[in-house]
Amino acid sequence: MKMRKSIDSDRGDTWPLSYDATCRAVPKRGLFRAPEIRTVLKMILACAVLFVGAQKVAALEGVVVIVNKSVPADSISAAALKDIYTGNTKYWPDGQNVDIALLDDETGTTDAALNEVSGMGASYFRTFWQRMVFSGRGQQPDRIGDAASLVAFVASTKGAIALVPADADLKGVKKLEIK
Amino acid sequence: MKTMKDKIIRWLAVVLVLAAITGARLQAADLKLFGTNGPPVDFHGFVSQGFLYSSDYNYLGDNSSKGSFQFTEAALNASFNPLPRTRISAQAFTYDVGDTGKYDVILDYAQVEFTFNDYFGIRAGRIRRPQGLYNDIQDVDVARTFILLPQGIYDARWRDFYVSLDGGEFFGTIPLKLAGSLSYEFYGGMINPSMDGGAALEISGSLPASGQLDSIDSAEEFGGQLWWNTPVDGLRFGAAGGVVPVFNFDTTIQTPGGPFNPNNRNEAAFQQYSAEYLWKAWTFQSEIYLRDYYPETATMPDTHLLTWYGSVEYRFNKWFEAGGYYTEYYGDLTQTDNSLLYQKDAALALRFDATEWWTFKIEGHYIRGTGLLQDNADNPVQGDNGWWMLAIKTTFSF
Repeated sequence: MKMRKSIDSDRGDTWPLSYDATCRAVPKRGLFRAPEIRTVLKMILACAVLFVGAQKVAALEGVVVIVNKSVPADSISAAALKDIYTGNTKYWPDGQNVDIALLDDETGTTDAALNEVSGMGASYFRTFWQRMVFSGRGQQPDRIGDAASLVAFVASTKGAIALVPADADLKGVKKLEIK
Repeated sequence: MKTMKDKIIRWLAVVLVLAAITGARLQAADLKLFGTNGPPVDFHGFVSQGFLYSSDYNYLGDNSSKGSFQFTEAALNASFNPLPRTRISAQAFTYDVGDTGKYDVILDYAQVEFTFNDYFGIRAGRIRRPQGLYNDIQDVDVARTFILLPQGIYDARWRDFYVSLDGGEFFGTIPLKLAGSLSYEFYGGMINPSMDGGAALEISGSLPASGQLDSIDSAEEFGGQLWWNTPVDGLRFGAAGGVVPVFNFDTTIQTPGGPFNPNNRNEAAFQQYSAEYLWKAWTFQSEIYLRDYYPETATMPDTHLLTWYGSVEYRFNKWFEAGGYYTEYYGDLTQTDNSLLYQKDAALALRFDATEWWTFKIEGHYIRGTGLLQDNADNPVQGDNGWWMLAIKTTFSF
């Protein structure tokens, strides 16, 4: 069957016809017609959101956010958590000092989560806070060598926040849900 | 001649080195100076010792053409939160870079900071002045990859002029929803150039043999720094500007007709634009800096200078980081071909973080032009268009 120009040929389109089961000519929509491209872009955006969301969840898997029981919050957004770890937020809503504590063990257990939360690798994060301290713009996070001691530090320090392995004993502290 | 200050600083460095050798871990001190119920006081500090060698000139370090250890910096700070949303902090600093600093112990910053919320805060006292990526930490070796930052912007000898001022600033971060956020700092106050500082050195170097610099006045400075933290993770752009409405210094020129005191009043202004992108283990940075001088005396021409650079850094692992930059400085934009007035520098650096508190760096520079030398007495012949510099530095910090 010969291909004939589409019914849009009077508009100068050159898309070929396609044919249904009865061999009836049916205008074939091109891949780059507007409705299709919007749909494709929506699918791409949806996949990207799911992918990014999945990545965020995956990176914090096995790690939880804990705070001292004096902290007036039960949950925190990812953006607010990043503001804390990048020094933009220095005080909790009730005026308490935000005291960041880091797990400083040799294995780097929480490094991936720290990267995800702050957008900085472990070395850059250390350098970043050294800049804050020596320029008079912030206080250096406390570094604790093991998870149990870190939890104990957070439990005893008002305003403290930390990332700890999810299997740590969280006695005396409050876990923050990331919303 | 070693002064008492000199000896104290060197002994402090020896103590820190011995502590490192014995394996003692330097830890930030967190002391309950105000009793168990009082706020803890955080202490931090560092000591840096460097070595400079240049193939042709005496640059930065005194007598660096033979190798110079006159490249020392040390600081000690303390901070605490006495009340909600309030922080008090102070830092003492001492340095010796070539003919500047001379181990004078200075109050680097001493400030009270009150943060109303994330959007607005006030800082007052002696503060570190924000400008670009590095001005507020240009003498903190541990906080960057390179030993020598692009000197056309961050001249190690000019810290007394650029780094701190007595006054205050407003600061905060404004969320822009889908557009990221905007961080700002606007400041005003007095800068206090030292007779042992880079400005004094440059002025003295520009005087005729019969002239002398008598004094440099403190001067008002106003300015600000904006950072657009874009929605793209790790990407931000900055813009800074400032003005010193009246910068004055007194000189005496001996003439056959008697001493002459010229009018040295100037207005100075600057702009700086910055870009930074952090991607995985990579850091990409670029800045451009423009400075203008407007002498009050009609017979003296206005001066416009420009510096720009681009840099790349890569962190291999927790021990090693490497970086490189290329920078061009033009001391007079009307004479960009004059090697006496420009300085172009290609640098490669390697940083080794032996421990959390001990850093070692080595860096090489290939330099064309001598626009930043300034020390005319130590460099009577200038303009070489191809010379080398080696810098080595180690820092202990806690």
